[in-house]
Amino acid sequence: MHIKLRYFAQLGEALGRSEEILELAGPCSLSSLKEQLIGRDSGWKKLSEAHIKCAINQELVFTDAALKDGDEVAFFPPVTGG
Amino acid sequence: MISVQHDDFSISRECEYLVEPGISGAVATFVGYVRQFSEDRKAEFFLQHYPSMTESVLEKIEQAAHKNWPLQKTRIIHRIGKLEVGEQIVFVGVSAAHREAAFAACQYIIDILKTQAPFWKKEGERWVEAREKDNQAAEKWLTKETNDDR
Repeated sequence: MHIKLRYFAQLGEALGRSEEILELAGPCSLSSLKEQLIGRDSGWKKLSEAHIKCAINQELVFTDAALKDGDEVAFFPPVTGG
Repeated sequence: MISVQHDDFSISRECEYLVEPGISGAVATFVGYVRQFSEDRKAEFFLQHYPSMTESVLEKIEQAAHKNWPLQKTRIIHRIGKLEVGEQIVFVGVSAAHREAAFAACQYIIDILKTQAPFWKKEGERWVEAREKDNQAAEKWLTKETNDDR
């Protein structure tokens, strides 16, 4: 299945990308996706920082969730608009 | 009504939209501006957002304001992209029969927007850090909402 990943603000800059498509072999949860990303290299450890927020299909999530084909998962730092 | 746009907005035009002549007794507005952040005149101010999530969050905030107070119209405009020091960033306006609801709802909308709507400000090379004070301001409303629902 395919998951679209998006990274915003200083997180996207630190990771050197704002989005990517990830192909996963089988069913995957948000937590195992995160683990996989964090395992890429030391720079990706940023994703595990407590203040980093996560949204699945544009909805903030605070707990683990099962991902399905075509989902969009976004990671970003606390918002600073207004 | 909500808008996420690069273009500037006219406060007077937005107030005209909000007022229902003979029915509205009060309009409260909040306008946020780009403050000077650097001595370097070439330093750029930039606003990034998460398209589609931004709109859905702003719509939810607007709906919650209507649920919490007897309002007539609400208007949220947030600008994105490259802006200059001194420019308008955000407009929040509400109309109501009386000032209490108008003042409270206007403050509610901007307080919640600041902590929930996916916008990020960049001043020159530096991304702005979120402030605890903003979280506390939003938390105050959210605690109240939970208590009122009981």
